[in-house]
Amino acid sequence: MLNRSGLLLLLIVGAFWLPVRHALAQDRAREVRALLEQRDREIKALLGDKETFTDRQREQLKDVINANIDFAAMGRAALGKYWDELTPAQRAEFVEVFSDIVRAHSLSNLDAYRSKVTYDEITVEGNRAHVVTTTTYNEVEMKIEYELGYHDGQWWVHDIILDDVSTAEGYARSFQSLIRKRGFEVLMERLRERRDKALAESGTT
Amino acid sequence: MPNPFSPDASIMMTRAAALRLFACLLLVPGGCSALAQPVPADTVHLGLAEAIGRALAVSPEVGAVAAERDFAEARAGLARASRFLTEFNFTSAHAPGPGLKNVGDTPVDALYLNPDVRNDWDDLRPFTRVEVEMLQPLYTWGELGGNIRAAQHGVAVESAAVQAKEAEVALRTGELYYNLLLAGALRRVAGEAGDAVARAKAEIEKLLDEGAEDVDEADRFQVLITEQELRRRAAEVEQKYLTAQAALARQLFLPEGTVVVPVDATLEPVAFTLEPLEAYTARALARRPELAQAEAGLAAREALIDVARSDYYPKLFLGASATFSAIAGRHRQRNPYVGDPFLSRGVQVGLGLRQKLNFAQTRARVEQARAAYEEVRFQAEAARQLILFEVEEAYRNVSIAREALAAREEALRLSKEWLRTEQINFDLDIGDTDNLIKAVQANLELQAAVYEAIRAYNVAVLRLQRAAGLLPGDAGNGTLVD
Repeated sequence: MLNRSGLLLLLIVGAFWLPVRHALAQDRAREVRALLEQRDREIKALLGDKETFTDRQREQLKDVINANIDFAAMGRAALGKYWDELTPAQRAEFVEVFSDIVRAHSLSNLDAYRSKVTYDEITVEGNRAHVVTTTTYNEVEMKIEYELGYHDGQWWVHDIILDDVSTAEGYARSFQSLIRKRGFEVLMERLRERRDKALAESGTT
Repeated sequence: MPNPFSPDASIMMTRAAALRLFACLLLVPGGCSALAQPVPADTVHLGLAEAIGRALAVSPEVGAVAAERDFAEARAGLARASRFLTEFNFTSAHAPGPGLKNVGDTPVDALYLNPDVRNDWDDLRPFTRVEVEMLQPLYTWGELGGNIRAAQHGVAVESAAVQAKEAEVALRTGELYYNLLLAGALRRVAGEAGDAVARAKAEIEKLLDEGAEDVDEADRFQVLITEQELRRRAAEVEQKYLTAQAALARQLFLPEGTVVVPVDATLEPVAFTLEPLEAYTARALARRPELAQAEAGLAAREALIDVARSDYYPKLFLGASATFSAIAGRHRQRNPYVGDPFLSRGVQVGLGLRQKLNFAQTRARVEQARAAYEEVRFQAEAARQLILFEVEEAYRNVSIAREALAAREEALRLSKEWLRTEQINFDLDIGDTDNLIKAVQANLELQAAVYEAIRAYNVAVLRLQRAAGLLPGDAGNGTLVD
């Protein structure tokens, strides 16, 4: 039980710390907003009103679009409890193939990136941030939420929730079901095939 | 694998999936993409509150009831005006009249003494007669006051009737507005389905051109037949949309060729916090025009009892009349015993009493008035109970609609998760085509179902607002919902 002095100290520290914490959260929310807005501006600048792109431009677009995605975190979430059972080499390969597939498909619908984006809400709790945006695509509004984490000196996207559906959870359901039924190696086999196909379709090796 | 940054995350269909997708898309309400919109002659963009305001301003139904209210106001004015100079008349008559045959040059002031003086119809002269009559009630035992009160309460009755009619028109307009939004939403869903079918068709054609082994002419015919079915559905959904548009335009009495376009881009649930039932009941009892109408009706009937009862007693009047008549060429004899119908002047002023002596008739009229009062009293009680029931029913319907919407939305969210999972599975060649088809089908059906549920919820809220007496007043000042 706290004595009177301890309680007073706690109140003083609390009274001082809460506004500081609030101010920090606001700063971090601004950082997150700036990051996403910068990314949006860069993508739109690269896209312009062009219909066709050179290989170099496509690579640039892929880099900008996927620059802030933490594929390791997303992959770990997708594998769930099976992640712990993998060797470091298996994890590394999984993350590499997984990111290759996502990067390759990130250019499948470029018009979507031309859509207007509004940032409705940015909530920061410690090293976690949740961003709610609205994208107007084909005259229809769609909610896109981002789950971000702060580590290694910057914000990383851990999950994207499209129209109330978590991308990481979608992968998790699919990947874990396949591992359960047929094992991790079969999943990797499928992913490798998918990666090769995706890269071939996008004209990249 | 869907691109996580891509908002539309389209399905990557194989040939088999494309073919089978046709069948499920046919189950979607509306079926396929809409036909091209004809270019409208004129377009009016309206929000819900604006549509309601406009409908109320032009509604002939409201106008007809408002005319009855105006009539009642005029009747009240008549009753008030009857308090003073109940009768006040002026009459004049003008005609040719006879001169006199003055036999023996009788002096004009002694003509009445000569028995031989006669009217001379061969010597016509201008004749004028003027009469003024006035009757002022002094004490009527409540007859005049009762009539005035009854007429004033009659105005309140009609005013409440106008409000009730306005609420009815406002609700109907709101329903039509949400019908149009729903039709537009379903058209968009149908459009998505149509686009998917078009993509599948293109895929089939491409594979046939490439000589793919697992696609044959039967598949192509199936696509073509499906396309025709979609054409039928397209016409249906488009006509339903146009019908909804026309219905709202007619309700707003817009000029021919004018197209109504809601300002709301999509059909969204109204922001509304459902308060306890007692709150709406209390509002309804305070604000429903039907109750105000019943109360005013009771007061009017009560006043009419006083009017009928006043016939038991003598009513006091002040009466006055003045008469003047003149004809040229006839001398007026000032002797009061000498009268000439063509020459007269006089004024009468005095008090008078009027009493109905058939007391049996009066008693019957009082009983009639009391019976009429009782009739309205029973009607008022019935109206009160009906209104309380309406509020309760509307309240529960909002709860039902809200839960239905929440369930539909959750089901839609689950269908999206399911579809996303099936897309990933399919893309990794670990999925099942049937499951993908079912997921697509469920997703499209649930999109339509959610829109239906939103419309039902919004209309249920409007009905509750109306039941609580908040429509159209709160619609007019922009506080229709939270």
